[in-house]
Amino acid sequence: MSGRIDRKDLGQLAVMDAVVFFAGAILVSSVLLSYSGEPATTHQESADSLEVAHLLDSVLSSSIGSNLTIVYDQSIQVSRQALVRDCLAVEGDCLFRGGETDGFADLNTIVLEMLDACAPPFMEPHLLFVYKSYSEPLLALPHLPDHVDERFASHVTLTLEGGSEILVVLVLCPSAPSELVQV
Amino acid sequence: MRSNDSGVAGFFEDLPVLAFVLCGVMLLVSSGLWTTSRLASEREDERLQELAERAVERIVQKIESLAPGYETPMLESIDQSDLSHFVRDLLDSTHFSVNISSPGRTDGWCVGFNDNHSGEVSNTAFASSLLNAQDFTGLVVVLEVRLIVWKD
Repeated sequence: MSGRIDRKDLGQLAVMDAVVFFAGAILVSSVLLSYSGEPATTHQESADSLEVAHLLDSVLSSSIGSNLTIVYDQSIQVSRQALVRDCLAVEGDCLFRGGETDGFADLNTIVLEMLDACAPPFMEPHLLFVYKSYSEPLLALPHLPDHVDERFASHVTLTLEGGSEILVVLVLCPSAPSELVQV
Repeated sequence: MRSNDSGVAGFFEDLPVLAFVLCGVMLLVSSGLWTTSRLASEREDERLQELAERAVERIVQKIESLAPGYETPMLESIDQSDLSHFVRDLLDSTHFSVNISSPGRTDGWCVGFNDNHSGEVSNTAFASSLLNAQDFTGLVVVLEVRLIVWKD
């Protein structure tokens, strides 16, 4: 045991230093690569939310496209030029009064088809009627969306005949994997 | 003679050190270069995407301006408007293809044009937007403006 460091020890120290340098290089490289691989999600999410709002507004401002009969208290003939917004306000009024919406089945089918056609690919639209005072939707078309991580929503407020207001909410959820396989 | 032997032995002893150092330097340089090129490519993609989104907004504004006041534009006026020239001026040297159609409509109304470019494509970007328009029967339909832009 002496305090001297011979050539062999110096060689081992140099190899150790080189290994530490190499490990540091791997670490720095992996940090660099992971940083460059991060996707920019914030802008995309805000753009998607804007897209949902635009989609809902466009569909509500369009005509229903075919003549149909709505059965609510009495039969109402609706012309093909009638706006979706006005028809949904009548349905909202029916829901607000606690009525059944069986008579609106044709209208709901038309609105869902329009939303389906205009929605981005691989996204499934859900339309909800929500009264402000209640947390549960009064009606969900075609059904209440399941718990999914990625979904985007937008709403508009429709004023009913008596001055009350009802929210029409559009939720876009990614299509189920089984539906993607079919596509 | 002794110092010569030490010199040869020292060189071979240093080879693993040299190998580790060279590998480390190469790793750093290659990951740095790759990251730089990838960030530059992403920046280019973002620029093209922003251009596509701005261009779609301008096309929608142009279509909406075809109707006086706040009225809904007519399909006929979109047909007759010189949108192709407008988009060509808007996008300058960037290649493009525009399609305007009504997703929910069965009669197949559609307007499409492009800049007739058929060369190689490096970067592409896509943007779309919805708006309402009215046909001659008074029916208000949803129109989708789709734009693809690309660079050589």
